[in-house]
Amino acid sequence: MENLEEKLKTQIITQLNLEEVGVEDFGNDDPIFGDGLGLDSIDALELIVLLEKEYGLKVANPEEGGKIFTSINTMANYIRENTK
Amino acid sequence: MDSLYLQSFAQIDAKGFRLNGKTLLPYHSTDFLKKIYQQQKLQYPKFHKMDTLCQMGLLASEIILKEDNLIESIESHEIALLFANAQSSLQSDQTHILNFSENQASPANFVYTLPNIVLGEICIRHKLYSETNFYIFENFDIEKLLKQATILLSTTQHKMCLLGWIDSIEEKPNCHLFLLNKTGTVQATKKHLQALI
Repeated sequence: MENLEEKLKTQIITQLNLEEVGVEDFGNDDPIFGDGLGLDSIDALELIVLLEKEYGLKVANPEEGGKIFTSINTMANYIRENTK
Repeated sequence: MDSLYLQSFAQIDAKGFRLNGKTLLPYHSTDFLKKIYQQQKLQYPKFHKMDTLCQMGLLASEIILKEDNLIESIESHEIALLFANAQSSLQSDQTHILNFSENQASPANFVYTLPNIVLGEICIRHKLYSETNFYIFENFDIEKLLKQATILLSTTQHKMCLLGWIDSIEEKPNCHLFLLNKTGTVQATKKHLQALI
């Protein structure tokens, strides 16, 4: 069964239309923003939408978003902690 | 300055993807713009996030501005962009309304709900800091755009103008971009440009 981290990578690629990126191109601890995937502020908003749509989680505090979207692992941990 | 001259032109429509009248890729009913992107070996991942209008504008301007390394030989403030269409950003607007009504509004779609975003995307891609205008006309009013281009090139720092019609109806591309210069051999008249469409 696909684990949460792998599922998240697939969902991010789909949600952000990262057609030239494969799940193998980024590790669980790699930074999501910055050089890695070349994402911008609109992508950050799309990630907030993804969390709400797929996991029912609302990120209300922008400062909280910075920590949640650091890497695939931080996203996965946030989801696990808040969907128990 | 009385006349402008046609330097080159690119088209994306039901006849295919063409540069100066020569077909580079025949029309495909599915993923046509993506096929052009692949054929041209562009490496610009942001392309996949764009709406149809921006994808057409990016592809057509890319082939014109890269011809003979033109983009390398001119200053960033020397090419004005004058575009027009009839549908504005209707396709993205409709998608946004649909998403919104389903409580699934997408910020990535919302940013394309203005037609002039295509001009911004081209300027970002080629680092242009020049005059840009996007008009909504019922039809491709070449005469009006030619007048505007003539004024721009005779009264400002611009040396060239990328002028054209860029529209998409039911996802069918209809894009005709013309690069006009202050000097040249082929005069850019309404009649001549119309004949090329």
